[in-house]
Amino acid sequence: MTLDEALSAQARAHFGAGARVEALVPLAGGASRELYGFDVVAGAERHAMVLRRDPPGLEEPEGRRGELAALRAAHAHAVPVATPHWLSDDGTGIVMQRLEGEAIPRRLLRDERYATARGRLVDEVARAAAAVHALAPPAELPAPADAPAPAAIAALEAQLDETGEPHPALELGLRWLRAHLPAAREPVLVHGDLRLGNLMVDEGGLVALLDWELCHAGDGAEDLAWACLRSWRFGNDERPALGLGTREQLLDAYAQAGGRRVTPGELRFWEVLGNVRWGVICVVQARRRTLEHLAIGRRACEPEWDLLGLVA
Amino acid sequence: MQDRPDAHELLDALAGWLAGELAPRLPREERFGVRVAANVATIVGRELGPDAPGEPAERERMERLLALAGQPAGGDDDARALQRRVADAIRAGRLDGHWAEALALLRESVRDKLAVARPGYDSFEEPAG
Repeated sequence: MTLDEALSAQARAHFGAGARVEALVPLAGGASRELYGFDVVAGAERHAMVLRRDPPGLEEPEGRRGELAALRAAHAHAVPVATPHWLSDDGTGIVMQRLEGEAIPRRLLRDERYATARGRLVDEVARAAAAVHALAPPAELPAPADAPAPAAIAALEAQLDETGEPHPALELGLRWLRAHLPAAREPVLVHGDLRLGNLMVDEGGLVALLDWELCHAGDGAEDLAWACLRSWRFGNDERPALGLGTREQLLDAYAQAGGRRVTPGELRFWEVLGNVRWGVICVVQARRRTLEHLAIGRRACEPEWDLLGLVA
Repeated sequence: MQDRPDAHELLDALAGWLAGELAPRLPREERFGVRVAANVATIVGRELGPDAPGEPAERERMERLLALAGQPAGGDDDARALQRRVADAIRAGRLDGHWAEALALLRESVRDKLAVARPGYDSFEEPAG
């Protein structure tokens, strides 16, 4: 069955026997997922959709089920996200609303048309993050083995060990994390990849949080810290929060939006962890033998440099 | 022994051609892959060039770290094997009492990687705690 036929069958199951799929096209996705755009035409209505799916050979139906559950919970609680529609029949993709807007960081940071949005994004993302973190992790996500911080450290050590490659700087980061554990917290739903490149934005500001594939049960401070990593400031090194604002601005906006008062020390802990995680991702990605993934392997030294500054 | 041009000169030229001549002629959605290819050629060119940091410096740093950890290196391990021993020593807490020295040596290690993969990245430092 072709993708068009599969989606048509799914569209009929969700929109009725008369529904049909039009204008199916591959879209530029990311390094980790395939993306297709299409319309479902049902009677007089036309629904703009995307399918985000695992690339061949890297299917993760468990992960997609958890991601869809998280998207549905977020959508039901007024978090700005694309309306989730259905899990593809083979379980490897999610069909959701196709949104209009811009998600390319360099345009968002430089183009004049996004000047107003730039002024609002730190506050709006803080508010959206607080809304996500008010949610309990859906049952479809794996239950953490431990409190969020020690569970995250153990997972990173295991991933690093699996690669069999030595990375002393990442180990120093992990060692620092073990010595600076924050107070144990009840896990909440965490987006897991909150950064400028995963926001849909228009001239008025935030449209939606995209790319929920790394969502998990964790500590909300994790998302705030991830949004501050230097690797996605795109040259705005002096503006840690999304490449746009200060750490204080992000933490204040988050608390004002009903999030808990995250201390600078907690944020630092999760920034170090985020840098270790990004370093481990670089190391792991390089084991996929495409040019793009191999090239990412040589980026591990960037978060290594940044974390060595943070633990000094 | 090969004639000139050297490997790094050839790779610089390849990177320049990919990014400067090929990419602009391609449709937008195909340019990303070509830019990645150009960047890879640039990185390998630096790695093979006259200014590339060498393995002896990394060996020496790892040997100093192992000495601090109280586990002096033998003579015949290569740099990767020494990094393995240092990584294990850090995880086991054997460098906890030498934090500042360990940090300084690892910063030099990372600087050498950045000099090839991302020159200039070390001109900015995240604020210390």
